[in-house]
Amino acid sequence: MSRPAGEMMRAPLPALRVIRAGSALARARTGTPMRRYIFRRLLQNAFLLWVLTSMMFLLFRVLPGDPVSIILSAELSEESRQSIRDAWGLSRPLWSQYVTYILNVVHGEFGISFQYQKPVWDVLGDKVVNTLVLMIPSTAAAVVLGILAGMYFGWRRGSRLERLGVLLPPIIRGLPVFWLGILLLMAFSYGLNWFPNGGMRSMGTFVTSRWQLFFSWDFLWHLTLPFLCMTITSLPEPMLIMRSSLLETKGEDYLELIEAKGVSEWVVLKHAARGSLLPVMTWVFHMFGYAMASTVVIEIVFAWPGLGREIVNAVNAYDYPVIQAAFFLISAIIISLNLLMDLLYGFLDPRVVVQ
Amino acid sequence: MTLVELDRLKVKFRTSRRDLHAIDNVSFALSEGESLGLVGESGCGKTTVARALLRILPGNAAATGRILFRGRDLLAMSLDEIRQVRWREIALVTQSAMNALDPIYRVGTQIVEAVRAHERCSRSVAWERAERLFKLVGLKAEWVRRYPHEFSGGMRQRAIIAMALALNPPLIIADEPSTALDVIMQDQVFAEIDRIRAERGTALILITHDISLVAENCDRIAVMYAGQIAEMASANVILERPLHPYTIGLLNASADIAHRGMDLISIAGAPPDLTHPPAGCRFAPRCPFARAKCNEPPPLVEHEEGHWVACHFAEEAQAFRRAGAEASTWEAAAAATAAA
Amino acid sequence: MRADSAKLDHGIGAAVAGNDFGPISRLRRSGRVVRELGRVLLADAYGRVGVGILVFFLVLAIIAPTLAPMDPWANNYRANGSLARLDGPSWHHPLGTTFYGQDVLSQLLLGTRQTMLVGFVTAVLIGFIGTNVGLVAGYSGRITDDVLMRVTDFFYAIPFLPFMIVMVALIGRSLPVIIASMAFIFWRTAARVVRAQVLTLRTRPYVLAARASGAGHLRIMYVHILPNVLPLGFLYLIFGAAWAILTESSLSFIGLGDPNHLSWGLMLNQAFVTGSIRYAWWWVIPPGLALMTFLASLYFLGRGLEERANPRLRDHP
Repeated sequence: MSRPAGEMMRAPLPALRVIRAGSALARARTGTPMRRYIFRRLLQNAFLLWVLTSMMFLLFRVLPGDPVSIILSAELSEESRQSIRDAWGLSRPLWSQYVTYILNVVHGEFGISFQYQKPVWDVLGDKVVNTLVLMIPSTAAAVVLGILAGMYFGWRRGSRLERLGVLLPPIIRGLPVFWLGILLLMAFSYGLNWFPNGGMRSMGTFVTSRWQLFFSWDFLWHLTLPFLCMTITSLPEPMLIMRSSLLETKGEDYLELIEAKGVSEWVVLKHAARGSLLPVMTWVFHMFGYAMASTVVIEIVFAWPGLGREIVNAVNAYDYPVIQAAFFLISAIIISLNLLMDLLYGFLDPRVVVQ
Repeated sequence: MTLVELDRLKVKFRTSRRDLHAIDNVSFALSEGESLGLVGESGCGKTTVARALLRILPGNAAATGRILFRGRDLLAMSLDEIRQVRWREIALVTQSAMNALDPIYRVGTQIVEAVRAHERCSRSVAWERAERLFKLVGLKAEWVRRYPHEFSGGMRQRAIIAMALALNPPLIIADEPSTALDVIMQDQVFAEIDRIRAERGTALILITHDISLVAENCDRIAVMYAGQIAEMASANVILERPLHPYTIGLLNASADIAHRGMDLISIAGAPPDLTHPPAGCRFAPRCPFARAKCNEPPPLVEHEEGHWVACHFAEEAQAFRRAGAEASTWEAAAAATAAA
Repeated sequence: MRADSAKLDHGIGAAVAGNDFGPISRLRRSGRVVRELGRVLLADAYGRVGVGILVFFLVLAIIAPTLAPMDPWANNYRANGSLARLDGPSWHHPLGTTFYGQDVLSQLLLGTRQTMLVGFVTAVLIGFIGTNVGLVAGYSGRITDDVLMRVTDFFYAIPFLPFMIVMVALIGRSLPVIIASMAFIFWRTAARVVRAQVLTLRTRPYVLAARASGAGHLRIMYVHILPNVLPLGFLYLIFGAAWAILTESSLSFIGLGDPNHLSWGLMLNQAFVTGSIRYAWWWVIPPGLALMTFLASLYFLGRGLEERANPRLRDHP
């Protein structure tokens, strides 16, 4: 997969965009320990992404055997196959292919899709945003609501509501995302006809720009069921973590002094909650991997045109360039999001930076 | 002028098994500007008294009796009322070694929080006050912007004292303020406290297990044992003429740098289990001078003016003092307890 | 709670470590372990419910072939000769039929076996790898620990479902591949948590005593520390099973599971793909309900154990 000469540079990857934004934000803040922390984190995550990509390169080269035979018919002579391999750069030594591969990836050059015969980026570019627009709001909602619920259940114990709040999480954790999705469809879409049964927008709607689409009522109407599905299934974890963390923090000495200062109960709770956030945040840093798994499944259930749906389609069509690129993009998104959360938390709790 | 008066205060903690009777019938009075030292072993209830005064007892606590602060009963107040009293009338100084300050917030923020909870003033004014308070306790003003983990133990203790002074309360309760500090730091901290008290006329309740500390720093001393007051008098009187065997034991157990080569005694045994408080005198099992009559609970009586004691045999105190100075007396008591 | 966790340590740990050696005492020791474990699990309501449901499913799985009225793969026909497509519940088919005329109840019952198989095998793999890595990392310290933790961090960066999708795409839709990929990824959580606990145990007096008495590292790790880490390892065995079952059914649902492996996820996939979810509630609800109940029971069990073991790191696969 060599880069044709004279071609325009592809749009920078979402990962690079996010990292750039993050470092700009970071530079605006003061403090050398903070800068060191940010730099360290950026480096670590870039390294992770590189290792991941390299692993992918090896797997894709080693495992399917001869990728060329997938797209070519067996009747072609060995000569013709060899010439095609040469054209694709597949006969060069492995390390040479690897270097080209990495360079291509950094420039957003993913090759040509087997099934669409178009550049992979053209196929996947839009899908990235579609996935993000589904994943991020629901994950954010789940975390915020989960933390609030955990705060409530951790602070007030013994009420009847609390017993429910303790009983539900294990049940919901066991609730498969796809099953909930199907049930929601059965009830609210096919049954009551309140919501559409899939897709991101209705047939025949024309929009001039993507942003206009995302802020339209039609879009929100389509987003509702998938959003609900994801939020509900992602609620239990942050809630449980926050609750147990708050229960532990409740016994801390400084809370006694804070209460003695004559502040309202809400202020005491605020202190306790802030002190309990660390375990929650530790989990939040890594939750995007899990959120992505849910998103992939939900995209299938609701026919949502995102990366998840595309990668599954690609697998069924043996479209290896798309599979590889989609996996890379998904990993890049997750790593960037995790990094962003990590950095954001550094601002919230200065203890993390000093470590 | 009486500032605070405890009237038959009882506190019990309800646990899943039995009730723990932490404080049993504690009464004392404190005047404006006066300092009272509350001494006793761990678990004798002195910290519970402090918490009861501020009504920051844990949820499973039940308090009866009265705590009169300038005539108003603190125990009868509503939550809103007691929040007004907290910090403004009574402030707490705790041990700095423990997590006394919230590690996530700057120290100044925590002082400002106390100030703004009670007074309407802008943030900048409150921060200025925090800086002034820091200077008052001998800390650099710009350190208000630092985090608790950046302070050393002694500095943290001063910061906590500064915070307690924020609203100029008439009463400060200091709960083991110097336990985690070395003697030199201890000295400095108390010098600080004395100076401030002299300037502002603040009353002080000093809670500690170290009797030598209260001997130095307090006008009056109350010795507590197993949730009850064993003896209470002015500091000089307690030092010169202790009446209660427990007080005698405590005094003899403290090293006196002037008397080198002196025998240090130790009171063997442990305080009673307060889920099953004993019927008679609570110290009797460990007392070298216990007799049959000690199975009846001794009332707290004013033996001489201003000197209260809960012991049936206060008359014989002089003999007790002489015997109590010998280590053998206490060793015999230890052997007797072990045999029992 | 700390006292309880100490009790847990001593209970199961003591049962495993024991003071005796030799084959017969080893048998007796395993009996003790089982009894101790049972005691802990059944101690609170959550544990009891969890165990109860699991036992129910286990029994179901064992007697499935005899209980199932017909071959789950067979296409059934109605009396008039037409394919019994999407028939509602009836005496003949208590849970109705699928789009292909297959008996839902039989499929459900067979699915129990497959689910338990996947869960159990993956859980054992996760528990084994994770506990060992965590043990070695936590005990060895410094370079080994650092290296192992960097490796674990790397595995944390891998998005598990996309990874499994890629594996299936590259190697093929077979159950061993799926189980291997899941084990390949999910051990990471167990490793981290076990390591955290080993770090605290490393400085305990009995470990120092063993070192002083000249015990080798392997012995200390596996004879002294491991028994005390087992409750935690077991907890993550349970979680591992839950993650495995959920992930495998998700994979089957999106059509990338093993087509010969009749899992509940595959049932739901077929219902979805044939557009039958519009009305065939008898096909949609039972497999999902079975999944939910099974997984919930695992989480209940885990909760009962978690309260006692109280690991510091609340983590996720």
